[in-house]
Amino acid sequence: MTEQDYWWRRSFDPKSGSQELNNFFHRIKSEGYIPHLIFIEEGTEILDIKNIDGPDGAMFAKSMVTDYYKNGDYRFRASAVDAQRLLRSIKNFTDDLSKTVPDENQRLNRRNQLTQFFQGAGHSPVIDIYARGDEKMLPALRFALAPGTWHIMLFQHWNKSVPPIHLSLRGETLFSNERSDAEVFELKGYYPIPPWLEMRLIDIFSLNHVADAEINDEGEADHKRRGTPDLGGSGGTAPLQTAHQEALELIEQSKKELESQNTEEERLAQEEWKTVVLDNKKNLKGEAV
Amino acid sequence: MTTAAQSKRKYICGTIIENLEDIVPLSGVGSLSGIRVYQVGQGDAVAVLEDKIKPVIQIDYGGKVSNPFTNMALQQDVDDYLPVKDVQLVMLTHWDEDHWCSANRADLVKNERKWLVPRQVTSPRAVEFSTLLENRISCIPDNRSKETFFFEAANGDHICWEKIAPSKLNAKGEENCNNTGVAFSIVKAVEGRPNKVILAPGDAPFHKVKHYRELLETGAELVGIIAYHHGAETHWTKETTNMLEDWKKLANGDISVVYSYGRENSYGHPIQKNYKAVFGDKYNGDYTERVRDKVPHYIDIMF
Repeated sequence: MTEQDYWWRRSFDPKSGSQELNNFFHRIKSEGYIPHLIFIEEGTEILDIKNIDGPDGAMFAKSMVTDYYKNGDYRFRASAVDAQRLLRSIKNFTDDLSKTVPDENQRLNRRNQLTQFFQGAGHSPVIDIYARGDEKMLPALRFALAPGTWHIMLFQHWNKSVPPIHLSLRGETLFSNERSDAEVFELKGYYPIPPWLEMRLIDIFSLNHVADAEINDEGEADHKRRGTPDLGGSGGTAPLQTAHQEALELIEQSKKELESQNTEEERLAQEEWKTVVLDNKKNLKGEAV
Repeated sequence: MTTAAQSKRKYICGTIIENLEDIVPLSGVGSLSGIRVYQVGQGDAVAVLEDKIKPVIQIDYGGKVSNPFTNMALQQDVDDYLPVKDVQLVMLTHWDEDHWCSANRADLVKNERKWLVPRQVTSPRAVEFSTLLENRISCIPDNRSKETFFFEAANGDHICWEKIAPSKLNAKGEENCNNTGVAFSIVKAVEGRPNKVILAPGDAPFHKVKHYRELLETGAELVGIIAYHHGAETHWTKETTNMLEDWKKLANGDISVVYSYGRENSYGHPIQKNYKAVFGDKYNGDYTERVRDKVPHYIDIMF
C-alpha cells in the first residue's frame, strides 16, 4: 500500500451511512490499519524541538521525534475516539441536543451515555501528529486540520526500518500519576468525515450535558452599577452613554484644575493626566452610542 | 499627585452575583488582597486571595509541559500543591488542556468542588473530564457573554469576570476559544481614590475584554497583570499596546507582569519585549519558572 493509495483518496461516498462506514472500517482494520475519529485540538509550528512534550505532557528525553523533526516542523495535537466503537455506540446517544434546549432529564441521560461510553472505551487518547515543515502536503494539512474539526484517520504501528512520513504518538491523557509510554504510529491516511457523522460528533462530544448556571439577576439589588450613585437609569444595560457624559464632565473639571494650579511638578502631572483623559475622550467618541 | 478629577470615580455596569446555585461567592470574605500565580509548568493555575492571604476562588487548574505533577505519587500531593480547601468555586478561563488538565490528577477539586465554565467547543477528553464533575459543573450562559459579573467581598473589593464573546464556529468550523473564554480582574476598592486592579485574562489579549476598557475609563490604577497566553506574542496588536500604555499613565508605582509558562515549551513562550517596551521604567517582570522547585512555589501579586 503506497502513500498515495491512502492520502486524500475517498474510499467511500461522503454520503455513506453508518453501515457503509462500518464496513469500511472493518476492511481497513483487516489490512492492519487502525481507524480513529480525530478531533484536532491544536496545530502549532515547533519553535524548540529540544523542548517538545509527549502526549501526557511530560518531556521527552532523546526520542524519535527529536531525531526526525526540527524547528519549523509542525505538530497537531488531537483527541481520538475509536471509530468502530463510536459507530457501535452511536445509537445509544438517542437525542440530538444541539437542536434543542435540553431539559434536565435529557442532560442527565446524555451524561450517563457519555460516562458509559468513556468507561467502556478507556480514557480518550491523545494523538500527536508530526509533519515536516518542508513537505508539499503541509499547507493542505494545516488548512484541513484546523482546531475544532473532526476527521477520520488511519494509523499503523510504525515499521522502524523506514522513517515515517507522519509520525504519530498515541498516549494517555493525565488521568493518573503514572506515566505510560506513548505508542508510536505512522499516520497512513486522512479522510473527510461524512457530514451526518460530523454533526453527531459535534453534538455528542460537547458540553450539551452541562446546564447553564442559574444567575439570579431578578431585581435591582442584583443588577446594578458597581457602587454607583443613583443616576436615574435602570443600570446594567447602557453604560457607555453615561460613561461618555461622565468623561466629558471629567475633562471639563480637569481643564479647570489645570488652569488653577501652576507649579512645575503639578503641571507635568496634570499634562500626563490630561493625555489620559483626552485618550479616553477619543475612545468614548468612537464607542458611545 | 491625585487630582480631583482622578479621584472622581466612574463606574462599570454589571451584575453582582450573590448566590450561584447554592454557593455564595466570597461569603465571609472581608476584603481581597491579590492573586497567586502557581508554578505549574506550561499553563495557568491562579487563586484569588482574601485578606488573610488565603485562596478563595480558583481560576484554572492547569499545567502541561514541564509540570511539577509528573513525579507526584499521590492525589494528595496535587491537592496540597494547588489547594482548594477554602475555595468554594473553580472557574475556567477556557477549555485548552493546559488550563484544566491537572485537575485530573487531584482529588478535592475534581470530586468535591463546584465548577463554572464557559460553553465552548471542547475536545473529547475535555468532555470526558467534564462528566467526572457530575452535577458540580455548570456553564456561563452564552447569551450573557460580554456582560460583567461581580463577586463582592464585604468591604466592596470585587472580582469582575466576563465571558468575552459567545461560542461561535467560523466558516471552517473552528473556534478560537481564547477569545470566547472568560477574563477576570480583581479590584481593590479605595475610598475617595481610583480603585486598584489586577488583570487575569487567561489566553485572551487584554484589548479583547470589554470590562478592561471600562475599568480603564474609570481611572483604575493597574497594579499587576498575568501576561496573557503565557507571554505569547500572538494577537498582540496596536490596540493591546494602546490599552496598556493608557494603564501605565494611571499607575503610581511599578506594574507587576507575571509570566506563567513551562521552561521546556516548544511554543517560544514567553516574549517579554512588548511588556518591557510598553511599561518602560514601571515594568516589574517575574516568572513562574523562577520559583520552580522552590518554596513557595507561587508568585503573589498583591495590592
